[in-house]
Amino acid sequence: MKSTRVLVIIPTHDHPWSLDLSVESALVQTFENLDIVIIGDGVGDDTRDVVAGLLNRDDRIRFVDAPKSPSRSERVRHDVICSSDADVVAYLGDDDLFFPDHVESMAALLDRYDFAHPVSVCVDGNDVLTAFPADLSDPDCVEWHLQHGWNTIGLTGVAHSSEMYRRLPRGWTEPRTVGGPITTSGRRSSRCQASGSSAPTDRP
Amino acid sequence: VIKAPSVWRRDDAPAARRVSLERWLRRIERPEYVAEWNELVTDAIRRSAVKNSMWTVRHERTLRELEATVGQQAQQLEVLRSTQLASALEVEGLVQSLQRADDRTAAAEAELAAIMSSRTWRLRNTLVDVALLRTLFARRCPS
Repeated sequence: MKSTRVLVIIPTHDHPWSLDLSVESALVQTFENLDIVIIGDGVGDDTRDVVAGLLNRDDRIRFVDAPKSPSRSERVRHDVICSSDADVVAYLGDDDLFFPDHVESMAALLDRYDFAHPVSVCVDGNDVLTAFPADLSDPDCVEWHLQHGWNTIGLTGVAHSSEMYRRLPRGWTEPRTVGGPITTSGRRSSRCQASGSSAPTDRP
Repeated sequence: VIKAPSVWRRDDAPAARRVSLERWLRRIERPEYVAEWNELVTDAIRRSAVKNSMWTVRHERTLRELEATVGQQAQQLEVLRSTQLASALEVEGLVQSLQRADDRTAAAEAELAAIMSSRTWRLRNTLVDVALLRTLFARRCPS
């Protein structure tokens, strides 16, 4: 566990008002052996200013300032993962938060599994929680996702082993149609979803 | 993790969303908050289960109603098919009657053409064109 290195990817486009909070939740993890890569997907100067402050704050943070991609910077994510020597890759949305022990929980699960995800729980403006239970260790749930093109597992919180990612015939690619029913930051190829064995986490 | 979907907060200003997110960040930083969060998630999952259960029951009932309708519609379809068959036979009979009427018309037209090409008819036409006879006919047949 101690030698495991985790790469946290935070894609961002136009959320300078929340990005620092998301990054802060990644910085205060109980698991410290991590790198944080903020992928700027056609960001403006307001976001660059926020990132500049973050880069001065912690040397585990790196920034990739890329032009706007056709979708959600999937190709850049792929390049970042391929150029990293991390054992585990975790994802965090630029207006979402990690619990302090999230990375530690994911790293522990990925000792046994290739792919792990928390229970999807969303918070609305009135602090009301809505759960979208899903479990990719259940083959029926995997089939449901693949058959219908629906997704109840958002990008935030998902983690996978780098070794599994390298086994995939293709990694992050831009979706054929941008938008659609999947509202998380991008879409994994179906082969990627199908290839990773999965495990529910103990806690979101 | 805490997810705050933008699609749920389109009406909120970024400043308000930041305040909300920061409030959550400060909450989850406290180790003792885990128990409270677990209760909230359990409650959210319970509500989701109830909603899904109601959805399932409602749609199962709709499905049963549709299945019953399918039987009735199959019977109606059978009746319609019988009616369609009877109508097709009737139409076929009418088409045959029409064909027979056409045949009779053609025969009558051929007979008329034969009459009009006969010597008698040609003689009649010649006589009608003679002025003296036309005058005589006109006197005998005043208008």
